[in-house]
Amino acid sequence: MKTKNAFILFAVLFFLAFFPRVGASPHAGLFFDGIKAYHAGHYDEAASIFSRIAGEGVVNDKLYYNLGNAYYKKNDPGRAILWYERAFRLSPEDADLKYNLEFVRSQVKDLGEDKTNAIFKILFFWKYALSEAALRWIAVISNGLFWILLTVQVMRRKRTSRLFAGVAGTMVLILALTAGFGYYENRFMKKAVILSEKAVVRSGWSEDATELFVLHAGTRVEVEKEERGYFRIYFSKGKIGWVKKETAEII
Amino acid sequence: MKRSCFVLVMLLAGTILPGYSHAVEVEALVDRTEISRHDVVYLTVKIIGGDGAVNLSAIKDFKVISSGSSSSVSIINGEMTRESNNNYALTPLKQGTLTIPELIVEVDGEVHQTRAISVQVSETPNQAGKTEDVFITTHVSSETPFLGQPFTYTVKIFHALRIVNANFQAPEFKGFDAKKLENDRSYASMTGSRQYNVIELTYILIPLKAGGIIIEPPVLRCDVVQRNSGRGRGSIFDDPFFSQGRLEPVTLSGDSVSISARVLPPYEGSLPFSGLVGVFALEASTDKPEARVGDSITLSVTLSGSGNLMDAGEPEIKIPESFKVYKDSPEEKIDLNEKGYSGKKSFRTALVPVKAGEFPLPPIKICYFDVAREAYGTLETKPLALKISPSKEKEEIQPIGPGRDLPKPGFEKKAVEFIGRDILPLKEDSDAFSRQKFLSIPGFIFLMLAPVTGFIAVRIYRKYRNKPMDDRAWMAKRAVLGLKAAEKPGMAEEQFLGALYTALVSAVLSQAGTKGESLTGPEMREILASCGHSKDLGDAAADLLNRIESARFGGMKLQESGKKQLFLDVKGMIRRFLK
Repeated sequence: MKTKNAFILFAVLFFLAFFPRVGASPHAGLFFDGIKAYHAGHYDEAASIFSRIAGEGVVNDKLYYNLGNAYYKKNDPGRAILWYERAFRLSPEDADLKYNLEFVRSQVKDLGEDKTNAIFKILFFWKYALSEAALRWIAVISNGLFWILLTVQVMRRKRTSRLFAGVAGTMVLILALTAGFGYYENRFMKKAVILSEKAVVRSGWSEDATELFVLHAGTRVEVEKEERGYFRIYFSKGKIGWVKKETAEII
Repeated sequence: MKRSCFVLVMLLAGTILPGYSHAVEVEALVDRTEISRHDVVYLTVKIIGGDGAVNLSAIKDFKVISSGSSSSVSIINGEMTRESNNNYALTPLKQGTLTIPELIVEVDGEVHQTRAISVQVSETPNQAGKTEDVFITTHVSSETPFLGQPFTYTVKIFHALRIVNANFQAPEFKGFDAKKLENDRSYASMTGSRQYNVIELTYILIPLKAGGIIIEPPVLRCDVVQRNSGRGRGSIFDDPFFSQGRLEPVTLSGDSVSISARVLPPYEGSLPFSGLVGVFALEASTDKPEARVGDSITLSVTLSGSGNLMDAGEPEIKIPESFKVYKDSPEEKIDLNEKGYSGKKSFRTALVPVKAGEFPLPPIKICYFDVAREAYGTLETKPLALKISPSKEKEEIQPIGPGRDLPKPGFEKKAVEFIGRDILPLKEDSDAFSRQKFLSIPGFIFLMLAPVTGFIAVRIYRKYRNKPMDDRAWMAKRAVLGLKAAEKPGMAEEQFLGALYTALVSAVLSQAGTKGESLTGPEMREILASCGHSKDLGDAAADLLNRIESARFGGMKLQESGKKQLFLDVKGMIRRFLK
């Protein structure tokens, strides 16, 4: 009986710790005001309302998608792409989002380079098809199943096939490493989107530094470091420089 | 011998790895302090005792061109000194007494400063005659362009002698959007009485801010092939074909150009200003004047001319409500030439009528700034009219059934093409505004490690459980099991007595810590005595063993009460041993 109660208590604590709380959201009214403003063609107002909700710490791919739409409609492709990219990190499998992102990207003036190897994309397809959160859960569940199976084998005093243990263990390890790399990539390999219509990339972090090249709104760059109000960015091979922080925003 | 080797190694180490001098000195030197307007002064920043970064942003009177750096290491009296020279070519931006200010040099995190140097810049002595072997001129098509108006900036490099290893540095064009024409021109020209070869480079500039903007001078660094002197005139070896001549390195610059960019005059018209600056024409046409309801008509609006065509937005087109409108992406064909940007930009719109009738399309108007007239102008297309007839389907509606011809097979399929592009709509689901909770990294690590920990715990438990018992514990367990077996109801007497015997013998042997199956009474006494038990206990145990054996092997039938008493006695004895 005691064991049963302890199990129920553990299950409740687990649920509270890892799953969203159920209840009415305080942002519902505000959100529907934003929807109404968008449909009325008041895109400035819609973007402002959705931004306010996002600013209060609401992390939600659909909200970010709506923000992208509102910014696109108010003719701000830089911010539209920024929010679509943020939504894409949370939900890369969303077909609507992919369509809108590609559509707005096609209007960006700068021709960038895709650094990711096509073979890498095929070999590690799950990394590109699933969000970081989904990858984590898949890694956790497959890891749990793997170890439970091993434990049962041990308890039943049966020898586990080395081939099975090796293959399953490697798969679990790859999943766990992919999830870990996803976290590392998002946390440390920062990417930014140019917001200004034209952002001058200079050779240093001052107004006097030589103008190297110009990037336009919506262009995606890698941020290598941040210093004295400037980002040191990498755009493509040989195109590295400093842009003012206010002209770009980290995804 | 070993000692000698050690001394030798120490001496070699002392030679190869001398002490490092940490005192750092910085110094700025120029090759001369009096130059003419088109000359170049060479600046060297010398860093003795290290290597560092020179901040040149303080130099405002000169255009700075880096001409490389060199470093050397010298060892004097076992002390190593590193020296690095950073070389720059400075082109004056004006005449007068110009200053190279104190420059900040950062060496290993420490900041050092050079001294300021004054340079006297006078007007070029040969400016009027232009009789040099090589010189540069600069020219703009307009010194007072309007904001957004493209104009040309031309650099001509005149050279009477052959030049090699040329390195041309164009101005930075700060304050302009600059594009260089791809094809440089090259031709011969007479200047005074001397023939020059001319290389002409053209840039298209668009001012991005109003007011005075200086275009810095362009700089050319090259080697001029000078004829070798020493042979008589007319010698065959004076021909450049036979002689390479000697190379004389030169660095020269052109004039800086002052541009005064003008803001557009205030606009007071009712039509919104499109932002176009230049000379333009506007045309509109449809691919067909008549169509049926449901058919597609393409309306093309083409803006052509020269100016900032690329900035042209879609003109406002007033389409009657009886049409569905699908806008296509604009197409532009804009060339860059000596006149600036010119070409055309087309905006196509697919119109699908939903109602029959005659519909006039009002003229399309665009307001622009005409740089030729220096005034605002309005472009206007001719009015168009569309005649829409009812759809064919409507005319030919027939009931589906026998006798009606089905569409003929074999019609040509066409690829589906976009007739309009837009983003997909908002997501209005009720979960679009709630916080999504994600598995945190500590939670992820915990959940990944928990099953591993569980597995290890199970393995440890199994190992503990499977650990072979020592003889004492094993025999004690056997005694308890024997007692439990004897307690079972309905057991045959022989089995009952066998179980009691096993339980008692095992209990006694567990005291000795040895395994065994049987004992005699004296052995039992001896074991118990050796284990520190009293003689009475040994006697009692031997007596009990005797009672079991007598009943077991003597053929004496036990009563139920006797069985119970014997069981209780054995149980009591075993408890005394095992407590």
